[in-house]
This record gives sequence, C-alpha cells and structure tokens, in this order.
Amino acid sequence: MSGAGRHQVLLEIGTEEIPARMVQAAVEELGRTLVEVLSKAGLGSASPRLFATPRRLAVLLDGVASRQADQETEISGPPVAAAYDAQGKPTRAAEGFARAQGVAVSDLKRVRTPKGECVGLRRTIAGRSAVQVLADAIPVVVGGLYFPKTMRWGSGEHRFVRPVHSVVALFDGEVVGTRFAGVASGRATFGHRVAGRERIELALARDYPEALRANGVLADAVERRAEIARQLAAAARAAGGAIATPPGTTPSGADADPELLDEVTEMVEWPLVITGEFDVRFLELPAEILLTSMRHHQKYFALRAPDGTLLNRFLSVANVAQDPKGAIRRGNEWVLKARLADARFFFDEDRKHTLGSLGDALDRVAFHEKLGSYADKRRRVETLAGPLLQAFAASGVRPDADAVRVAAGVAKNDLVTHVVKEFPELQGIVGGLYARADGLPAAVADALYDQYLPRSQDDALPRTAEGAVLSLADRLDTQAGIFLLGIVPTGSRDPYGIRRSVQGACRILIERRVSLSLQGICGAALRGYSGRLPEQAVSEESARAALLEFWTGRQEFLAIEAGLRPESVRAALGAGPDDPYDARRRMEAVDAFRDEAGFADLASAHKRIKNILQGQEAGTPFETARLSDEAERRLAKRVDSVRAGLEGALAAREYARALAAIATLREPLDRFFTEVMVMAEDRAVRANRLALLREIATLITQVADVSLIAPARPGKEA
Amino acid sequence: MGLNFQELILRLQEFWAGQGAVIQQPYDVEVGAGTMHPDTFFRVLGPEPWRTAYCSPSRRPVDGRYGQNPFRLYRHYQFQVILKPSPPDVQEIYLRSLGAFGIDPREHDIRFEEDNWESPTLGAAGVGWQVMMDGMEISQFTYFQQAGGLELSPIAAEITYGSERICMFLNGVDNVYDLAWGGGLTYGDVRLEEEIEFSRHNFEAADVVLLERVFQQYEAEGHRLLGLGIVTPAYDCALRCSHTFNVLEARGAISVTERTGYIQRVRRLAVACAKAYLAQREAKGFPLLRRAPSPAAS
Repeated sequence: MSGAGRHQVLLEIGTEEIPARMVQAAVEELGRTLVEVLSKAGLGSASPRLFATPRRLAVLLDGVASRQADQETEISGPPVAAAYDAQGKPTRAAEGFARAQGVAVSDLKRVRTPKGECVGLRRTIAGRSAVQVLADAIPVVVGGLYFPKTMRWGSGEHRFVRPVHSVVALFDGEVVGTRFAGVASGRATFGHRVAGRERIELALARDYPEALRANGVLADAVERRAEIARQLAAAARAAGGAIATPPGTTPSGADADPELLDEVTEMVEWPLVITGEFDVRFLELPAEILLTSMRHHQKYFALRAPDGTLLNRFLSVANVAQDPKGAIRRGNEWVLKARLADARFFFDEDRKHTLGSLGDALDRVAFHEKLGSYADKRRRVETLAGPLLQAFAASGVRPDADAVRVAAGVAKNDLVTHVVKEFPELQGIVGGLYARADGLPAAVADALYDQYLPRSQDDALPRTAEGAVLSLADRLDTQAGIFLLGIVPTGSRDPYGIRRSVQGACRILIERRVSLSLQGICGAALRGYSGRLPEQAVSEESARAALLEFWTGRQEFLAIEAGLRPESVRAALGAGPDDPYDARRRMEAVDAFRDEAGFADLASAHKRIKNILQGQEAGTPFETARLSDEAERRLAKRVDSVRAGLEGALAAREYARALAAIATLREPLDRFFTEVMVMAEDRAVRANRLALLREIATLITQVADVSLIAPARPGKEA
Repeated sequence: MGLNFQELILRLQEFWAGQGAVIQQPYDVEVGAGTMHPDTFFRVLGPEPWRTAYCSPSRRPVDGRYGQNPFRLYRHYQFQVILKPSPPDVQEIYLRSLGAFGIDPREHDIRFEEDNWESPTLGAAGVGWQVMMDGMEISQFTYFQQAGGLELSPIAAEITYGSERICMFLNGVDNVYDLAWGGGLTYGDVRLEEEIEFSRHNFEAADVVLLERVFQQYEAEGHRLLGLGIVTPAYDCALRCSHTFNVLEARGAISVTERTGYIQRVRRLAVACAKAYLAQREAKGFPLLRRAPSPAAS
C-alpha cells in the first residue's frame, strides 16, 4: 500500500527551555523533514500539525500509511556469454553470482540490461512498516535540525539546542522504538511545570493536543499567539487604552508590536496577561524612554490613551494559568519600578549636559575597530552631506543645509549618553529628544531622531528631507568603509547589515525622488577614508566597483519586492543602474509598457540589432545622404522624429511616453529588416547602415535594454 | 517579611550542602564573578566530578555609583553553585532551592529565558538562561561548554543567584542600602562607606601608572610561575591582572583599541593556567574520579 493512509504519527521532543527566537524555525523544519521522509518512503504525504512551546517541539501527522508497498527488483549478474561455457554449463562467474545472491545456479534467469543480455534474478523486497521507517529516521531528522547555537550537557556526549528529556514517538497507539540524544522513546509526555502533571501517558498519537491542554499547555503556537492577542486587547480595553508601538518597531495589522508578541508567544506554555501599574510621576520621562524600558528588559506591552499619551499601566504575559494572590502582578510592578528608577537616573544624568557638549568624547568611541572612531565618522559624514545636499537641491528637494550641518555635527553624540548605553535601540531617538530639549531647531532634532530610519524593509523613512540627507550620508559612509575593508556581504554573511543599509538608502532616494549618480556619491564616500585607513584591503576603485554592483543587486531586489516583473527590472538596470530613482522610473515604465501590442516585436528587433552590432566597431555617425533604399530612408526619418520626441520625455522622466515614441520605430524597423541588406557589400553603405542601427540602439537604451525582454523563441522577423 | 540578607545566604548554603556540595568560602583575591574562584575555574576542567557552593563577593569597578544608585553596586554578593556533571534534574533542584528562601513556584511566574555567557578573559563560554521570577532576573543558569580555552566534558551546570536583588524582592525593598542584613543592621550600615570610597578610588583616585606596572608585573610573574610548574599561585596572578584591568578601565585609562590587547593578555595567562592545572590533575590520575561526591549524602 502506498500513497495516503489513515494513521497518525506523533513525534515530540521534550527539552529544557529552548530560546524563543529558535522555536518556530525548528518546529517548521521538523515538520517539513518528517513529511519528506514519509513521502519519500511512499508512506503518504500528509500536512503536519505543528506544536511548539519553550519545552517541546512536536509534530502530529495524519494520513500516514502503515507499510510501504513491496518492491519488485531485477538483479543482473555477468553477461550470458560469460555465464555459460560452450557446453551451456554455468561458469564460475555464474556460480559466484548465484552464491552471492543466495540462490541456486539453476534459479538464474536471463535478463535484458543496457549492457546486453545477462543472467540475473527477480527479487521482491518487502516494504517496511511505517514504524520501522520512522524508528530509523527520527534520530537523523531531529539530529539534523538547524539551531543557531547548540550545547552539550551532563556527560557531554550529546549535542542539541538544550538538554533533551523525553522523546514521544507514536504510530497511532504503538510506540515507535527509537532513541535520540541518549533518551529512549516512549508514550509519556509532561505538562506545565506547575499547572500540569509531570507524566502524561498518551494512549493515541491524536490525543496529544487535548492531553496537553488538560495539563496547562497550549501547545499550538498559532492558537497561543491568538489567545495572547485576545487577552492583551481585552486588558487594554479594560484599562481604557490600546497597545502602544514602541520606537524602532513596526506595527503590523492589528498588532501594535508584532515582534514582541511573537517573542512572548514562544516564552510561555500557558499565557496569562497581567495588568500592572506604575507611579504616574514616571510619565514625566519621554514616552520613548518609558516604552523602551518596559519592552527591552521586561518584555511588557505599554498602553496609550486615546489621545496618544502613555498610561501608567503595562501588560505582562506570564507563563501561568492564574495569579490568585496577585504575587505575580506585585512582583512585576516592583521590578518595573526599579527599571524606571534606573531609566530616570540615566535621563537625569544625561540632562546635566547639553547634547552638543558630548561630542568631545566621540574620539574614544569606536565606530569600527578598523574604521576609526565616531569622531572620524562625524568628519566624513559632515563632508559627504555636501554633495548629497546638492543632489537633493538639483532634484527640487531643498533641505535646510544649515540644519543638516548642525545635525551631522552632533548626530552621534547620543552614543555616549547613559540612556543609549542602556538601550542601544534608542540611538538617534535620544539625540533627537535631547536636541529638542536643548532648544535646537526642530529640523535638527527631527533629523537626529530619524537618522537610523528605515531600520527594516517595512519601516518608515525619515520624515524630513534633512533626516533623509543625514541617514543617507551615514549609510553611504558605512558602506564605503566596509567595502574598503574588502568585506562584500553575502546572503549568509552580512555582519554589518550592509544589505539593509543599501536597501534603506535606495528607498530614501526613490521615495524622496532624488536623482543622483551612485558613481559620484560612492566615490565621494570612499574618498572620505583616503589616506586614513591603515587596514584598507582593496583600492578605492575596486571598492567602488564592488559597491556599485552591490547597489545594483539591491535595486533589483527592492523592485521585484515592489511587484515589478524581474525582466522589466533587469531591462531598465541593463540600460544604467547609476541613478536608482531614475532606474526605478524606467523599470515602472517598462513594466507598464511591455504588455502593449507590438512590444515583443520591438524587443526582438532590439535583440536583433544588438546581435548585428556585436563585434562591430563603432564607426562614424550615419549620414542621411548615403541612404539609398526607401525602407532605410523611412527608418532614418522616423529615428529623427523619435529622437526629437524623446528629448522632452526623457528630461521629464516620462519614460512611458518615451517608450511609446520608441515603439513607433517598430514598423519601419520591421520593413527595414525585410527589405534592406544590412551587411551590404559596399563597405561605406554597410558602415552607414550599422551606424543607423547603432543610433537606434542608443535611443532605446536610454530607457531600457528591452532586448532582455525579447521572447525566448525567435520572433517572426528573426 | 522575607529573610534578611545573611539568612538568605545561610539558607542557600544549607540547601546546597544537602545536595552534596562542598561549601566553600569566598576567594581572598579580588574576583569579578564567582566563576573566577579557582574552585569553579579549575574544577570544571577535566573528567572529575565536583559540587560546590559559596557566596562570592564580586567586584565590578565600572558599576560603582558612589552609593547613590539603589540597585547598582561596585561589589555585590553572588551565590555560586557548581554541579558537575550537570544532573538531569538540575532545573528541578534549582526550583526546589527557591523554596529554601520561601518562594513557592506555584505562586510565581518563573521562566528560563535564553542568556548565554562568555568571559573573554577566562576563555570561558556557556549556554543557558537568566531565570526570571515575576519579571525579575533572580539567577543565571549556565551549562559551561568551555573554560580556559578548553572544551569541557563532562559539562558543569553553574547557578548564580543575585543575592541582593532576590532579598530586595522578597522584602519589597526599593533601595539595596535599606535591606536588612542581620544583627539589626542594614546593608547600608555594613557597606555604604565602602561603596563610596571604592567608587572614588576606581573612578578618580587610583594610580594609573602604578596599576599599569602592577598589571605587567603580575602578568610576567604568572608566566614565570607556570614555567616552574606552580599553577594555583600563577592563577592568582591572572586574577590580579584581571582586577587591575577592571580598575584601569573604570578609571578611563584604557582606550578602545588597547582594551582588546589587555583582555587577550589576561586570557593568555588564564588559558595557560587551565592547561597546566589539567596536566597536573592528569598526572595525579584525576584523584576525584575515585571519590565521587555523593549527591545523596545529606
């Protein structure tokens, strides 16, 4: 029997507390690999139900077959010619083969093989039971799970994410006899540490979720997350507020702080939301600092009143069923009081100085061990702000240049404040708060506050143009330094977050509609390090090439993420990736235009032109006077009118209009290719025709290399 | 009201004595953490079983606050436990130990949250948790994976209780100096002056030139002693270097670039001590392998 079956399989690995950040990925991998094992073995391909808490990773599979189908196989031995002698008697080769297979020579049959006719035999391999297959597979599957960090314990023989205490492996009601990490499998799991029994015997695999629920464990993480969200919303309502989104985080749908919700989900087996209170006097602290104090160490959700101000309430998610004596609430309140007193101490200490006066300390704060101090970075960023301001101005965005200069001069001063040392996620934000308190202009304070935006792909951008310039200058400087050290980030290794840095910078340029040359600005960023980098690993020139290539890759990624089709993106980048905003406009135009009638023909024609021009040296510009055929004269005329029309469209970055103009070349081109022989025997005529085609290729690639979108099969003209 | 400070430490000693631990006393050379006590640093190496518990005054010069911060101290008292090899029920034993000072786990929210530990100066690293009770960190719980640059086997579990904060929590006290110590005195009565003076010393008064010389001399002396096959006194030199470095750092005398160099120098000495200790024990045939302390003996 193969395919779907009717049986259930449960595998649960019981452990000590697994780090919250690792639980979800691990259980997903466990489910995926178990399904793979079963389907490869022909035992069914059910979708797994996953269960994960800090103390267990479990998978419940339905639709598993009990046994693999038997398999017929043919085993071939020596060729017939070698197996029998002239008299037709079996040779030693045949006897040896039969012996090795455990059959009599007389049992050998003739079988056809690619090598010719051989002796051989047919054999039935009995299918294995699911229990046997699982018993062998479980240690391999569980042992192969990826964890960012593993450990040993006790005798030190075994390695896993945390010590393993139990392995439950059931096929319906039958124990799958196996071992992992020195622990024999069985049918006994365990409940919540205080709210459940220590030993729960499962009669059947499918009893698992309910048996745990009865023992204080809500094992399904999706259900647990929903339950926490429900309790949080109810508690927030009861307190007259809503969950606040802390600075540096991004809300998602109904979740004000989805990241924290995910984290606490993986930290409890049974959630109980507890509402606590703190002294209203702490509300004098900036909301950002209060929120972060609650979230960073305590993983509490803070509450906002309808008017946006913070309430002196917090919500904590405990791993218990109840708090009958209020001890947990009182404990959490006590701890938070200590935390907030600490935060107030840090804040008060910080406010004994102005933000501006902290700058002297930056030469003792390392930006990067090989790239110097933050004082060095400040000098470079101040310089780099110059060309950025010019590019912004040329694009019609006019940041307050003085505000940018002031902001760049104090941007990193908050790194030496107590509050940022305690809560690194508040860097920038604290600078902005203190700048405002010092009476610096709002443009400066806001630029400081937003200088690390966007922190992630979905995060907001700096609100002001000044903040955008500062964020860009900071990012470009870091990127330049890292590339000068010869570090090119890869998918698996990006210790300095350069991908995120480039993507953020790219988004700022695109969404602010700022046009600039990456060649130029990256060159300026790299020059900031000139002569000051003892451990420079690569030349400025090769760092620039690598950095530009990296930017191109990120532009492509972002555009595809934004929903543009990959070929449109590559076509536009193929025509020039140096100005990310401009490239994005061209990508959009190509993506919109490529579905128009005739686009495929234009793309094919472009491809054909490129093929013809390949290997041909550029000659003199074409001369209308030399054109003889009617078709080529018509084409040249059209080229003239397209060129004239393009100028205005390109200047206005109306690339859809430009493409429409270019598309009018299709028909005369078509005719040209049908009627005119490009490679004419007369050298001058040939050169002139090539020059005409080169002119057309140049026109097209001002928008995009549309040849990259040519249909894979040859078009009708080719 | 909960236990006073000295009662807490006495209860913990009693509990762990009942678990077959050797009750040690604080080490008499400055340490930054209970882990640096030779009865942890050395004993976690090699195959010999070991259980110990002791209170470890731990000096952290940069944490000094002139006695003005209600939570931070230049010197605090860790209560340190080593169980080697880590028993399978080590978490349950730990939870029972909370009962020793009046915590009923059924009335509280006790969680084990990921927190790995690393000491670059000791070449040591471990994997484990911070134990949170009702949102407060009450202990560090670590499975040592490496010490003195050596991979460990068997693995020791280290439990470190933050004595002051547990006691403050039990008593609902908001300022460490208000904590009842015992003998009718407060923590402040016993320790406040010391905190103020050492803060002044570490941040303002310590003689940098002297400390730099002391560091070099103890470093050289440690290596010299190791050359003579004298191990524990060499380790004392490593501890003195480590503490001297900590004071220099608090004094603001070490730049970011110098910092790595200092840490590496202490580490080199500590790693050499660890290797020498292990060789010494091996030469003696790992005597404790034949005299395993019995957890059952109580």
